[in-house]
Amino acid sequence: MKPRPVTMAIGIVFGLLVAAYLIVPTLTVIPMAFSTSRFLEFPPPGYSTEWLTRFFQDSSWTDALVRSLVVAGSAAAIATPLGTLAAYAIVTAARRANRLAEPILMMPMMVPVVISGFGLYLVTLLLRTPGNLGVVVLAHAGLAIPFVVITVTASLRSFDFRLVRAARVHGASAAGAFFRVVLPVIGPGVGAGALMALMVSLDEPVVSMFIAGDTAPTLPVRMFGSITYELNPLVPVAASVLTVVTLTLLVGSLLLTRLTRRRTAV
Amino acid sequence: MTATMTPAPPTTSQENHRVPWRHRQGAWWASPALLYVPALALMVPVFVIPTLVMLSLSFTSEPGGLHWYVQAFQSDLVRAVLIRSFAIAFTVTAISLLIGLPYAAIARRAPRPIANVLYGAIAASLFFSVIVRAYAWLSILGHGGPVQLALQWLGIDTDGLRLVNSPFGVVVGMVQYGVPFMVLAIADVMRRTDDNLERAAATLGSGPVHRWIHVKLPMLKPGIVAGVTIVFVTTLGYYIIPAILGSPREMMIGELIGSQVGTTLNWGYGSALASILLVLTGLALWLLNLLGRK
Repeated sequence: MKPRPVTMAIGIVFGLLVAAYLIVPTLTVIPMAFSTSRFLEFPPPGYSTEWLTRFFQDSSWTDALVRSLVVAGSAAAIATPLGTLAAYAIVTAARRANRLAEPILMMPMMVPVVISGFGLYLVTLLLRTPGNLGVVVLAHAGLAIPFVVITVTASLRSFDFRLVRAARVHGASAAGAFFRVVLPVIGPGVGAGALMALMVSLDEPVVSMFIAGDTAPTLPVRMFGSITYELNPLVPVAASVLTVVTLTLLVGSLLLTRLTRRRTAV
Repeated sequence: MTATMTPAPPTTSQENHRVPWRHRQGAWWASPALLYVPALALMVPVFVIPTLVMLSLSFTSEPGGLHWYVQAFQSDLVRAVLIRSFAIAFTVTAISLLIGLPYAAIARRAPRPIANVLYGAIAASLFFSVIVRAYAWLSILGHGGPVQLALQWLGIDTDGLRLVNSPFGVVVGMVQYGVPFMVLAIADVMRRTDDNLERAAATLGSGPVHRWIHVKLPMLKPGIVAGVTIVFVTTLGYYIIPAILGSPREMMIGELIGSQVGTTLNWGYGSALASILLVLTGLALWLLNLLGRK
């Protein structure tokens, strides 16, 4: 049904206003990072690169940034292969196995992260290993697995499995067929899943704070502390750095998704 | 499904995905279900076991039994926090639905370039860091921010208004978080609905409003229920946005649990609170699932 032009015009104005509500407020952190004021002021009274230089000279912030990147990279390196294998199982295994495994894999999406984080915190206390960044990496990998599974399952759903059968008939091993037939086709989907995993970890303050908040804060944890306990003029810089990184990941994943569609289109 | 040597009959795409080896008769070590093992080997010790440990600690921590639950339910603070959490989750879900449903419908009908902007805004906002978004609201709604200045310019007295450090701030931040999930859930179902049904209803004399209520909404129900579920459940237990945009005097349950971390004395109390949230979350999921099936 074609709506009347007036209805459509009102609808478009409404849609654009909502889109602005979703996007514009977040972008204000970038001009604030270049503010001359040491207080939270928008619009900023003047512009300078003072806080930007201070941010990169302050080791407590740069350490947190580097720590975040290392944690996110390690978590994605774990979550991507595990999630890809699980996605392959979802598409190929018997339904009974799926019914058993899927709820566990999707648990991080349903159970609030304060609950799983609190449980993990209690376990690290019981095992007397608090402040362990390795535990944070494993937890982030776990939190990211559902996202990898969803992304990779989506590209496997449009994959033609007769290609695998053809490869096997011609003598390829199961692993050989996976690496040389399946992976080249779904590769971009796996890449998009890996970017999602990086994003999940880079934006995860709760588990990191519960497990390693005092000893080894990641960038979101450092930011959260600065927002709630002090008003630090370096927070907008940290926020801008994080936003630039995540926007890069977004563009990357959009490109990869487009590539997946092209490769799986038969 | 049995494998035969005859050329496969044309299968629907849905069947095609299920074709690969099921290994009904195959050796167990060749079962594709084994590919689950590495992921489960991570998930079980990192999420499942800690949650079970937490549940058991809520009953076994000194002095044990139901002590910590009794203490939680007798506390006026906990009761107020739970009621507030439900009220905020309900408000956020309702507003997200009221915004998300027309948004998805408009994005589907709008001309191509505008539709791209509308879908792009959803994708981009999913990638923005939650902590950055909450912080941005703090500066926009906070003291001396643009919203306050605009209200003053309109002659509205802003002294008594608490735009942040209040449930209002939490709702503004959480709705911004919830709308993209609502839109994704509804748009997914919308893509699969048949426009001809609406056309048929129009031919039979149904007006635009009548069509929406009696033809379109019933078709979109699975998407609406999915969107409501994800927004309600995430808002109920959310920690970061309420902690930044709310006030410590008006906490939500996630913050109350978070505040137990570091207080080594209260393992039992913290576990009991987290277990209560876990049960309430499960209950909400179950009820919404029932609603979706009917």
